[in-house]
Amino acid sequence: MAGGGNQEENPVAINVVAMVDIIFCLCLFFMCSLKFKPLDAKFESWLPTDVGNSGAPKNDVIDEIRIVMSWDQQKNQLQRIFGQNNPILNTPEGDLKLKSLIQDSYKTFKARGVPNVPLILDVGGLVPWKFVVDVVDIGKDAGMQKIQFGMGTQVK
Amino acid sequence: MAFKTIQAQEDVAPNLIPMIDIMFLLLLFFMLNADLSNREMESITPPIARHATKDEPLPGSDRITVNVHHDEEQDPKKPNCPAFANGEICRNNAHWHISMSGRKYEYTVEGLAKLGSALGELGKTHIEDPVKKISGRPLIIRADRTAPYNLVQKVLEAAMVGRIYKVEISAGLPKEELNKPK
Repeated sequence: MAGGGNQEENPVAINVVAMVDIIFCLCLFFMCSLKFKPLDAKFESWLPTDVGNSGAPKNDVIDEIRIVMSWDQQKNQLQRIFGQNNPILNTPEGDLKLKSLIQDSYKTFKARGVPNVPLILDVGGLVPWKFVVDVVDIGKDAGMQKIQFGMGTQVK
Repeated sequence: MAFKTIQAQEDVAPNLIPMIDIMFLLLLFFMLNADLSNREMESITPPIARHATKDEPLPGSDRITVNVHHDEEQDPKKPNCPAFANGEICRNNAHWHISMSGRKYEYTVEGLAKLGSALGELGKTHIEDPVKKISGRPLIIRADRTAPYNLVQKVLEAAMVGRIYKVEISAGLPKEELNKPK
């Protein structure tokens, strides 16, 4: 600490005012630069390490739950399709419907002995990220453990 | 009757030493709290996810952070991108950036190839599977809520090029989660 001591022991008086000014400035700087850490969260989405370009699937029935998401540029709105052709509106009611469809589908796969069925999101490039995370969130809520992002091969 | 005259002490000097002590302690507190690791985090608004797990990176996990973010607005009164400033979706690809450790990677074939090779170099520092040369380093993608998915997809592709498979997606928890007891 700064310590005290009487003047007889330290006859040389130090002007501390300048030092106090500097400490005030430093204090102000660090106070202003202080950022309270936001409560961050995350989803784990491990990429496959041993599949990749493995050709056409061997099974007649593909074990997957697929949601296609695209952006309608004319209407400026999100379009979501569950499975083959089941459009889901981007509304709270639509979210509930999507959750129930995923849950039902997941139950069916589990009953068939495929508990590790993945939820595959096929997302168009223009879809804003928040809508993708919304669907990941709904998938997690529906109990899905394996969520994957679909990627197409570029047409040459 | 004899009165004792009171002499007012004129040269009152405040003792600065306790104040300096406190100032030093405050300074130490703020200096230690200044998290330098935040420099690799760009300013984004994360998408809200109710079922995401709280992000607590393991000590020594050496996680790589890739940001997908918009241009910073210099003047809030006169924004460069009014759509983004209003919380709408910015469709100008030139306004979006992919950055890692403060370095921006252009949204071009060359820029993304550089990102892939940079991730490859970073991934080599912790190889999990020497046969397949797969890295064990985790990577977190911090993307703004209005960022177009194609940028995030390019980061996923770059992670595959860099043989990093432990990919995490950053999200924000809703406010009510903040008040939940641990």
